[in-house]
Amino acid sequence: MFGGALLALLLAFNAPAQAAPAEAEGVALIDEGGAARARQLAIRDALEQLGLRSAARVDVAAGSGAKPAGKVLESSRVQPGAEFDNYKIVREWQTGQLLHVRVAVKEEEARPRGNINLAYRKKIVVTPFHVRSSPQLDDIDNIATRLPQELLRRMGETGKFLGKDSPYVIAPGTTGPAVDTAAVRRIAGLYESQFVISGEIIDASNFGKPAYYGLLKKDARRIEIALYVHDGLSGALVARRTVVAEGVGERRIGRDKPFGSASFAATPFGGAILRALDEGIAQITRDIAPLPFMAKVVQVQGERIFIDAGSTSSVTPGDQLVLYRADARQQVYGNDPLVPLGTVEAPLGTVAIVQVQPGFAIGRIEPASAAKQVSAGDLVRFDVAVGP
Amino acid sequence: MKLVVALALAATTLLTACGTVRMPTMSAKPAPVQRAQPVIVTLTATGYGAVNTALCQGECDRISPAQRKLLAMRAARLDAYRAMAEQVYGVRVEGGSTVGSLALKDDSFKVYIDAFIRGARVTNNAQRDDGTYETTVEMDFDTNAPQMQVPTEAQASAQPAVAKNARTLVGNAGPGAAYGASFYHAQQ
Repeated sequence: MFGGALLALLLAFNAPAQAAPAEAEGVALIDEGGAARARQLAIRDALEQLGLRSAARVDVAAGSGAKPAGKVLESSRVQPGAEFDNYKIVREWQTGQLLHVRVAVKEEEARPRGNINLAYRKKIVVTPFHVRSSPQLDDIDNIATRLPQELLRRMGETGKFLGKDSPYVIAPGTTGPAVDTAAVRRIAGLYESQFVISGEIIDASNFGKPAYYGLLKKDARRIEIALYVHDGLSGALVARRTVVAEGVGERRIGRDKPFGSASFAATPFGGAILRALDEGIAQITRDIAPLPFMAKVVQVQGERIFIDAGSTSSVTPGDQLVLYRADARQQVYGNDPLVPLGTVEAPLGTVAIVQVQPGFAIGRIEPASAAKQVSAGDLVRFDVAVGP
Repeated sequence: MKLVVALALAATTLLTACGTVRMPTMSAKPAPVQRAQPVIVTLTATGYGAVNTALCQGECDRISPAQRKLLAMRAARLDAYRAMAEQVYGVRVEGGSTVGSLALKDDSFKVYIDAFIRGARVTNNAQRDDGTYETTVEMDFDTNAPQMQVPTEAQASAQPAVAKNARTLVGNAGPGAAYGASFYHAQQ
């Protein structure tokens, strides 16, 4: 949001009124697709260069300060922050197998790409919520599953998450969030998600809200929702937020109004629930933001690896991520001999993404010699680490 | 008790009519912001991309030499922009100099940049003797331009043509942020 607004302002107010046309040379390989396909790719390459020139969005996770003993493995991501709808081909020529196209654009016509595709979308899975006192909510149709589904829909709309909903419930502990880390990890693994979101509806009781300096009392109802964010890899609780909202007036919603619908939102208490939900989403979004984007290796073919995040997660060719070996033989146990605390990780190298499809991406390992040590289940993160 | 409150309310309502209403004066204008004179320097950053001919276990035939060359050229270009961002926001520590980055104060090893670089142009793109590609980008940069702020409309219009704007991301909210980016893996 911040980045998009900033970029829009920069482009709107800093671009010269009548700038000279900017030019760039795009290159593409003439392969089985023929010259027409190569031409399209070359134009796209040139437009990417021009977009970078107008505004380059650069994300870097780098090492600095103290000099570590090993090689520093860094993550980076450079994307054009602007794009052009109109362009002109100035020149086109061929050298060997390569097709070159020189493209010109008017810099003042640069359009911000928006924030949707600029940041990684972290994968989440939501579970049905626990209702502490179900008689309080007998007027709402299946709030235990409909509320998490609405939460997921609204989180997806922020452009920062890619979500799934699970029918499996995580039982809450006596004082709040689940303590069963194994269940969290199972659900995260099953739905290929980085985070698992569970929750609890603690209270939805009626009360008399003082009005007119306490002379009268208005009918009101309060809802208190607890949201728990668990890390899918370790099962650890990374955020716990409670939101409270009140609705004054008509207290009952009615089971005929589907959760999250316009008729639901039009009721005082329904509106209060959705406001509470939005507040909770804003809070947990801030909580998750500093944790690095992560994906799993699902397949290895020579020096190429396949990860379970692709264009739907906003992964793009050229991205560089750190590759970690999660050695299943090195699981660490605490008091419970059945549930491991985690697996020892070792940074192996970096992965440069070369091809992206909606559900997965293909990357090249650097150094290539590290490819022999990689197997399905290993991890990539937008992170910085010290290599071997 | 309620009667007392009601009487107090009525008395307050009547007495408010005796108050003096002070209107804000329209002449009060905010003092103009003193902006330092722009000092434009030209920054140059170089990026490198290797033609990957390393051991690839029989998979090398999937990508032709020409395609590898293009990938290396693109990698060099992206690396150059990254190097420019690092130069502008002072991530690299060279010669033992210190960096005033917010992230560095919190964590001496991990630094995160989330930045927009505007107006950086490619000035050179060439293959080196060792087969790698080298790309140079150049940008005019005002060393006096304000940093780390979202410009308001008025401020943005007053910005020089070459602006620098960025934010450095560190954990800044909630329980999850307490772990920060070192949550999954941190080492010495």
